[in-house]
Parts: sequence; structure tokens; C-alpha cells
Amino acid sequence: MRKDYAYFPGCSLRGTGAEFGASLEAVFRHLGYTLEELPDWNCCGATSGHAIRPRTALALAIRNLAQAAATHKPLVVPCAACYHNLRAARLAVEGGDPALVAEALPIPAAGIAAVSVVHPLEVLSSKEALAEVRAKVVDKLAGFRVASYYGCLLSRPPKAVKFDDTENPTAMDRIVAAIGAQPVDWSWKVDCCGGNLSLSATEVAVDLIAKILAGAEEAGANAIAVACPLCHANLDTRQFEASRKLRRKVEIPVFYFTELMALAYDLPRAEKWLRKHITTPFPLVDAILEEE
Amino acid sequence: MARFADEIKRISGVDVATCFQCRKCTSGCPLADHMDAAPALMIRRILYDRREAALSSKTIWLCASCYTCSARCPNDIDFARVADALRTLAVREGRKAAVPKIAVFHKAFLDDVRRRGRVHEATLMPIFKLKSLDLTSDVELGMAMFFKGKLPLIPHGVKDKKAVKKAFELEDKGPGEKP
Repeated sequence: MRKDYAYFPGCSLRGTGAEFGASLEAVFRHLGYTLEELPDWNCCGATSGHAIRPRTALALAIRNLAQAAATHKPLVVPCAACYHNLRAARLAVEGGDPALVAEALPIPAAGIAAVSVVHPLEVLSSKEALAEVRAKVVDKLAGFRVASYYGCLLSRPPKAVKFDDTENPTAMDRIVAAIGAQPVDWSWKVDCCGGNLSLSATEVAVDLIAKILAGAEEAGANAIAVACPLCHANLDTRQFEASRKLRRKVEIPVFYFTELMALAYDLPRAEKWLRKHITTPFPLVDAILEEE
Repeated sequence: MARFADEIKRISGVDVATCFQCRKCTSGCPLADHMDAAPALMIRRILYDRREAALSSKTIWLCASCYTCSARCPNDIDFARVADALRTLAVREGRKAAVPKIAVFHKAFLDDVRRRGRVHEATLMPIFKLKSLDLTSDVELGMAMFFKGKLPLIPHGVKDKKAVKKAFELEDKGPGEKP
């Protein structure tokens, strides 16, 4: 099983999603993986890039792929938007996208198309990897009933990002089960959280966020797991507005799946990462871990 | 094929002519409630050369690029990419966006990428608030994020500034339709 990867943290994992980056790096290290940060990486273009400047977005993503080609390793990309954009750029190079102009290619197209871009969920959910994920568990997380939330960009569109079922992905549920927590079956795992509309059309995004939070609670979850910094920001920081919309209080902690793994492994810095959340996870975490 | 549909195909690579109006895109669209024209209607507008109606819609701005429509279309029409093309055209033509705040966000975001090659949220957020003339919302949230260390003050940029500059120039003076 391959354990050395190039690593694209992306802008969010160095800012609002810092705890995703830190917990992911720690968990991968704990499991014996090495992540080598991509030299001089740049923004993937995010949603705004392809929204109004498709040629710029493609060139930005391709530059990262060219940097990755030079490492001769598969590239791990945790942020769902970065992952999606880099995969889509690879597809654009293979398929001859009209937004692709020759000047956007710092190295020949074949070199770009050869770069393998993977998501941490993909790396950790193989049968072999899951056995190791399970073997390292020290803290029992059985009290966590987790709704795994995948959002949009990890599974759509399938021609660009297929590593799991499009409508019912299970990679995160399998990891949640492997670390001893209970995965919850629910209907909102691939519904949109509004993405950056949370900032530019807050009312509209809160509508979507409220449905997801209520859906998780109705399915009996006491926690939500995510794998995307924007999904986390939206579900974690908009619970007050969502409660107002639903006319009842919703309060459900939102974890990066790597934070739950860190709790299962009793990694020393987990508490520090959880402190960054706006919806405090400590009442739940303390209640479950102290029961031991 | 309609001229407008040709134009959209040249930008996005997506051929909307195979749409048979099954409306799967619209049934699954999480933003359809908030749009002024459903995705399926937008495709009709393109096929009927109703350029003005398409480019002045709120729909192109409210599309969140969730790709639900793209994943489910039986004819493989990637409507999220079509929305990208429509938005891009609206911006290139200097049109007033039907949902101005969303357009302001996209521009502020890309200005930030242009500056350093990476986004620095602690710079982007105040600029976006200023440019959208909305200084009161989310102030408390911003402060909470700052004190929780989610908004580090020191920005990190890309060393290879030339590459970033070039990525932007490709759009500014790129081939084909002029921005």
C-alpha cells in the first residue's frame, strides 16, 4: 500500500480550515503516511474562478498539477473544492476543454494528465487502509452517532471526481465505523450547503444549511462529520441563523472526519483543534470520552 | 443550431441542443426555489436565442455550482458549466449582475488571488464587506473566528508571481471572445 504522497493544503487549510489541515497531517503521520507539501502551490481558483474567469481558473489549477508532476507522487488534496478543481483540470487537459489554451500548459499535456489526484477519504477507505485505521483505535467513540456529510464536490460530477457512489457515497461512513463510532443513515449526505453563497447570499445559504442540520438531527445523529472546509464553515457557524429559520434550536457539533480519528487515537492536540469550532463540541466529547 | 447555443458551446464545451426538457436538472436543483428561471428554462432560453433574458437572470448568480444537475442529466448536459459560461459572458460584457453582492464576492475573491496567488481570508473578508456596502452582518462571527485563530493576519503568497500574472492575462487578453 502506497504511503508517500505529495500534499496540496490549499488556502482554507491555512486559514479558516486550519484544524482540518492540522488534524489531517497528524492523523496521516500517526498512520505512517508521509505528506510532502507541494512546493510553491497556488490557489486552485475555488468556485469564483470557474464562475467568472474559466481560463484563469484552469491555468491556476494546471500550474499546481505541473508542480505535482515534478514530485512523481500522487497528490493528496483534502479541500473538496481544490480536489474537484484539480480533478476537473486534469479532465479538461485530457478532453480538450475550450477554456484550455496552449499558454496555460507549463509542461506537455501528457505530463499533466499523468498526475494522480486523490482525496484523503479515498486513501483511507480502501480495505487495507481501513484495517490500519481500525487497528490504531484506543478511545471508544461508540457514543458518537455520526451523520457523514459529503456535500457536492467530492462526488459530482462523476466524470471528474468518481471514487465513490455519486448519490450515496460511503467512504466516510466506513471510516467512522472503523474508528468505533456509529454511522447514521440519512438523506442529506450529498445535498448542497450553499458554498460561498453563505457570505454573498446568506439567507439563501441558511435555507440549505437548515435542511441539512435538521436532517441530521432527525436521523438521530449527535454529530456531523465533514471533509470540506467550506461545508464545515457553513454547518458550524450558521446554526444560530438556521435555528431561527427552523423556529427551533438546532445544536449539533460538526467535526472534520480527521478530528474524530484524532479523538479515537487520543492524539494530544485534538482538544486544541476542537477549540476552533464555533458550535462547541465539548459537552458531547467530554460526555462520551469520560464515560470510559 | 441557435447562435447563442453556439456561443455557449465555444466557451463551455457543452452542447445544450440535446436537451429534451425532462427537467431532472430542475427537480434536483437545491437553489431552484430562489431562482427567477429554473435550469431547464435557462436551456430553453439559450436554444431560443433569448440572450438578454438569460444573461440578465438571477439564476446565473444563484447557481452554487453543486453539479447536481450535471450529475443527473440523462443527456450529459453539464448545466453548471453552462451557468459558468453565462456568468463569464455577463462579466465580459460589463453587465450589471442581477444579484450584485454575489458578483462582488467573486470579483473580490479573484482580486485577492491576483494579488498573491493565494487567498488570504483576513484580507478578503473586510474588502468584500466594504465593496458590498454591508458592514454590519457577520461582524460578530468574524471576530469569533479571529479570536479562535481561524483568520491568521500574515498572508502567504506564491513565489512565482509571473505564473499567477499569466493565469490572469490568459483571460484578460485571451483568444476568442474578448473579456
